[in-house]
Amino acid sequence: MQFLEKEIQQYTQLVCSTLLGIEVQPLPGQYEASLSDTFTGSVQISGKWNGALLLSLPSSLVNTLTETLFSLDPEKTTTEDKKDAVGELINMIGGNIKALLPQPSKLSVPLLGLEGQEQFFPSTEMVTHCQFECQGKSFALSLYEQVEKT
Amino acid sequence: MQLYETEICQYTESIWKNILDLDVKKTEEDYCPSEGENILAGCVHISGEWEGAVALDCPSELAKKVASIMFNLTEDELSSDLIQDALGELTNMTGGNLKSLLPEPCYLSLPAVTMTEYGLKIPGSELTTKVTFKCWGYKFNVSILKKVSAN
Repeated sequence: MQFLEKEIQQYTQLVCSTLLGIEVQPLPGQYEASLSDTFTGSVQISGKWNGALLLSLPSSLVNTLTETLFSLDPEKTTTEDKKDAVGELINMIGGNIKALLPQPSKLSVPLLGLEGQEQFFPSTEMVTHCQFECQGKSFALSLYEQVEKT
Repeated sequence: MQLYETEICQYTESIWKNILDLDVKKTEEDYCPSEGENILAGCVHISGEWEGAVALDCPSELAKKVASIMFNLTEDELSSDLIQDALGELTNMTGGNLKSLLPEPCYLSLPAVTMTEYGLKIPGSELTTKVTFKCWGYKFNVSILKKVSAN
């Protein structure tokens, strides 16, 4: 079992269910999608515990989630709407995960990467990777923890 | 004069000189990347009494040159991890210095680095300061973004 794997799965399911009314299920394996089709959002956790939580979603799923969250007509979502929706999702999941980590720790505002914009977290290593299924599409959450430089 | 513009200039010039032995100077010219140009953007978040982020965005060619100096390697020997490390380190130092000017207590996040064509997207924040510098004919920006309160 990876670090906080069960909790990340539970909170992701909880946030998607309460915020969006959408059921998501954990999937085994690694999320693999082309960079040009992946939208990312991350929050940084700083303080007693340092690291980052990264949400990676395919574009088509971002559209669905954005339409649901803001009750928009299909094909009417703007890039700003998508940024807000992904930012809100990662903020809520990150806030729940932060509460499980050593305190005091602070959550940053979200950082977003549009399709084709990969996010990297130097001086960290990925400690947990959880893949999920939502309406036939997969997405993932990855937790990165600071690595002490020797 | 924008918020902390003088300090951004002072810290940036000092960090690039001390760490890389490079002279960088503020320029009044805008850094507007051309279409298709790859930009590497480093970002550290500041949370606590003051909430926001400090970002450093530059052409990927400049990030490569910086990494080459920082790690004493030729550009051919550099991995993308090292290039991200170098930009993350510069952003971290710049953010760390600026954090000391802000109300305490504040926490500095680890750096995040993004490869982008459009610059960083940080919803819920607004640009308060942007200073453009020139180094080796390349331009780069150091910016402060402040969290906008929800109400």
